[in-house]
Amino acid sequence: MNSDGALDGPILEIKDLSMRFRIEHPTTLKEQVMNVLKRRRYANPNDNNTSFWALRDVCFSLEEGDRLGVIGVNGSGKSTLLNLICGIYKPSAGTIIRRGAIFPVLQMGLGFDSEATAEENVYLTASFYGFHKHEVTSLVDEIFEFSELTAFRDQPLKIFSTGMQARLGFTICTSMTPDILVLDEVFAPGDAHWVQKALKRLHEMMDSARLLIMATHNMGHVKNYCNKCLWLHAGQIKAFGGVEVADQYLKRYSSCQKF
Amino acid sequence: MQQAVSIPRRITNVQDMSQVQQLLWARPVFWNLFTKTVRVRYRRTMLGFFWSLINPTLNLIIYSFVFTLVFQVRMENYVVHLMAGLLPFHFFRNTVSMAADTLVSGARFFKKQFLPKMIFPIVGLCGNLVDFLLAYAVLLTVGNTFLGFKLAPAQLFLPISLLLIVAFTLGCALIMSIAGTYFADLQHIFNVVIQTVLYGTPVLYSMDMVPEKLQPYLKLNPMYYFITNFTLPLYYHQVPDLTQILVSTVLAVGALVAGIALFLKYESEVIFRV
Repeated sequence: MNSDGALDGPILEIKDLSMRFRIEHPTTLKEQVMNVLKRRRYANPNDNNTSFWALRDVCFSLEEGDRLGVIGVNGSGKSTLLNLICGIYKPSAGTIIRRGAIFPVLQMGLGFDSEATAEENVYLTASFYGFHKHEVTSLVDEIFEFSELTAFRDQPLKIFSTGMQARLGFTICTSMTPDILVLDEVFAPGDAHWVQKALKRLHEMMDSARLLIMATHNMGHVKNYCNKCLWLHAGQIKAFGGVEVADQYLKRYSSCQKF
Repeated sequence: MQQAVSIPRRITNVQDMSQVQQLLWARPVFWNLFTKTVRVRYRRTMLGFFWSLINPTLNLIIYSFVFTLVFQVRMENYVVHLMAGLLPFHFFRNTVSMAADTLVSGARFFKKQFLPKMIFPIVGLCGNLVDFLLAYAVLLTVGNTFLGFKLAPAQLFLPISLLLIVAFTLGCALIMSIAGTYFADLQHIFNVVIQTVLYGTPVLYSMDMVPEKLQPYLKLNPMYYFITNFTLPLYYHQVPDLTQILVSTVLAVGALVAGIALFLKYESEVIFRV
């Protein structure tokens, strides 16, 4: 978890990273009391029946300018890996050395408050990335202009349609200049006109990042945006390399797609 | 198309900062969450913020009517004694009870972005502190004008009383916020226990109404010290004696240190529990 490594080196270094989750069995009050009386631990972390490895012994590192696509079937550990990189989870074992600031976009419109106005929500979301109001003020006009919501600037968010909220959330996130950008299946939603201009903005943001890590199920995204690809399977690295990994993945699962 | 304006690129990583730096980094989040909790309370009301002043004023009037005219309590300025102790007691009770929920409701934020989780119980405490201070201001002004209570130099001790109860409450709230995510029942248990503790604290009665041989037992209750830190200067115009100041300082610092230590130990586990 600490950047205790040397100052120069790969921007992101991941060594023997493992993550174990506890499986919570629903217990009644009586069982809990009995467990305490019998001096039994609530759940023994070494017991395979009460825990499972979401990620095991993952090692890789990324250099300046790398664009990594993380692929794998559902439950293969993609999101767990992103959460660990962002520091949201503390790893069970292993280290992550970050030589840059993580900018996680795991959800558009982080921290939105439906009772607050659209403009207040811009400051709200920015605050979750550590930005003070005065640092963001200069961006607000551009955000509303781009999202075509200037007329609703002082309206509470609750009157916004789902699409309008998504547009605002997307525009706020993409107005930042990230160092290490982490995207979890986040792409521009909406109508054709909006998607076109939103994608352009997203690409600009992705280009400005020193490092990009994105989890996706879309191999087209991997081929278009990435130079490296990590294939996770059951919490372990199945393959790590260039975008040809995406082809291997497609070949492996193409039989499933034919009916 | 290059953007005309953009936020300067951040190069420091909050995940790798020390605890204190993380809390400083989170100032904007803290401020937003705090203003939100205050605003939420009076959302869509016409009088808005003034309810914070109207509520304690009405309480004062009702208590004065009930206790002096109906019950005819013989103690002089009974309502001043009652409110002087009841307001800090409510501050403690509300903050610690609500602390059990703070991490659960904050989960939607810290599951999507790394945040120092301590800000959530602290925001809860600050929200209650605002209410407490406003109610106390009402007590001092209204009480001074209508209820015949006098200002005295001993009341200069009140900021220290405040500091002590805030430290003690914060420590207990930190413990409660962690324990509450492990055992949700704890909040309900606390609410029942604290109800009993209220009757064991000289709030509804004064210490000299208690039989002398029972008095030492009342002093086993930690709330005794934090509450009489308020009632002594306000009602009796006395500064608490050295023993009392010492005991309450030790209790406050002890609770705070224990709370911070427990919180930091379990902070990273909380995300798997909410």
